[in-house]
Amino acid sequence: MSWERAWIRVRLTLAGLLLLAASAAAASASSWRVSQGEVRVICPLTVGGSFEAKSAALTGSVSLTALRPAAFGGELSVDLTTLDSGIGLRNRHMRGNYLEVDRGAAFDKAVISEIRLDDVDAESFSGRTSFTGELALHGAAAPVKGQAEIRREGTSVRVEASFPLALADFAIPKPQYLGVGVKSEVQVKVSFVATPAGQSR
Amino acid sequence: MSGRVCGVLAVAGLVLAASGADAEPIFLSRQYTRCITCHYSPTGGGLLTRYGRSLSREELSTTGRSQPGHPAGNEEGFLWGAFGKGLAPLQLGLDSRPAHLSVDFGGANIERNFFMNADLLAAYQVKGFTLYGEVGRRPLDEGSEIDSYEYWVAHQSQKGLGFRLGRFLPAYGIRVADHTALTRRSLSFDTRDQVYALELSQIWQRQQLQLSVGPGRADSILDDDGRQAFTATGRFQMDLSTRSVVVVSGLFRDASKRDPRSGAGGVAFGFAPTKRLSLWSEADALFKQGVPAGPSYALFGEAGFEAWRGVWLKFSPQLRTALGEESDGLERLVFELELFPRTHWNVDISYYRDRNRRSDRLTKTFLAQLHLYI
Repeated sequence: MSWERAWIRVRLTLAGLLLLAASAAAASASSWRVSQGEVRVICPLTVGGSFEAKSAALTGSVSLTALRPAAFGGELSVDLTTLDSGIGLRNRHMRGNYLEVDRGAAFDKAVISEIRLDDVDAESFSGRTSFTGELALHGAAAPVKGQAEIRREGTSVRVEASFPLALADFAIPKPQYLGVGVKSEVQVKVSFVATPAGQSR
Repeated sequence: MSGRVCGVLAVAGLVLAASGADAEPIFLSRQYTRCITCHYSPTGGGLLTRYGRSLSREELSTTGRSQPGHPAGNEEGFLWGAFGKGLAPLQLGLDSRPAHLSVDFGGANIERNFFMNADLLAAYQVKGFTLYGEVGRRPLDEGSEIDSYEYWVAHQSQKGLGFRLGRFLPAYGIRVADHTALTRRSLSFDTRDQVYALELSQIWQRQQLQLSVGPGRADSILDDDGRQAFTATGRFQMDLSTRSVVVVSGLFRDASKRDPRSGAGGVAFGFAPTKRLSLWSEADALFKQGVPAGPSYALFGEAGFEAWRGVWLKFSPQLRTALGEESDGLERLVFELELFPRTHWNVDISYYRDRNRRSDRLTKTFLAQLHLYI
């Protein structure tokens, strides 16, 4: 073996070790926990105008399973019993008659999982992208697709995402009360700060 | 003009300009940006829809709201729901306001107890059509009369296109609960200023457009008082969010036998930073042909704050300048307490402090109303 070949092998070995080290570092920073989250649901009314129901009870964590396009395991969930429209009677109707949160585990939370960012590199991406996910709600599950704005703030990531939600996809009856109803599609807006798992912001 | 004459006019103005069921822009704080959610009239005021009645019970009254786990009943219905659903699709309402008025104009004082209004209101709604009418007793300078001030037929399509034909107050600016507000009365949108008109409207999710044209003020046509003039209005509302709106309005009145051609344009903004606070403002410029010195301006602001459930405090600064003379006109401050102890009735106590900008004369008005809405 010539000394040149030996030197090449040493360099390849070093590069491999560095790559492994980098991968390990990436893996340690690729699990994220949600903090400071908020979910807002914009409900358009049949008579025009709309109202907003919101909750700050957004929890969960995700971990990177593929770099490009970025895919995440884990899930984010919102406690629907805390969804507040600002009016007591409307809250009772929303939670009780339509979301039926009293029916149990599959009804009192909305859970999104299998999150994928379209054609971006999860390690470095910052900006606007489309995303897909699987939403479990009201005892049913259906894919959702929307837009997300991702900004990096030090070691944290700030995410603002929105997607349309067709009530019929989740077997939710069209809300109606004394002649005023909610249209068949509502808009969901989610914002949160994701911090690397193990860190607290 | 003598102080006594000013006072008499102030009394007459407040007494004669009776109002029906109030429009309540304070509901912006509950994310209601459209009048038609609670009122049959797309310009607000008048008979409440079933939804509006429910909201008055569940969101306005201190003690009336239904309790979870208990039968809700029909307390908010006509005559406390005595007819059940037997009258549907007919909706009825009785609206009356016994009131006490006290006006202090520079030392002299006028006091009066009176019925501000006593009305029967009705709406029949089927297949997108609405037939609407109200009839009632209204006070005059001396005595009273039975009359109908609002009656119309309207249709609203599923796609949001609508029309209305008949006698009604045209859409302009914010229809605040106080019909004597300087942005209402100054522009002739007081409670007896309905027009005969055709209104076309389009409702989108975040916008609303209302256009009206007609032969003019209804009473002027019926009384042939020389003020009949072609009148057109336009109002465009944009919902910036579920708690903020901006409104742009325009008004054109052609010349009549007694008045020159006139018009107005204005912009209004409503914002509710919390579910207990609503803030409204409106600015209008009024033009009149033959007055080259410049327009007059009407400015209105109102802050409504729910201090306790069913207890609303309101403060409203207002200004009206004279045509072509911005240092002339009227400054007004209104302090108001509204109590909604139970569904179907509320108590409204208002204090008006009006300052004439030319003479510096102060007029202080105290108005207490018991509002019965059955």
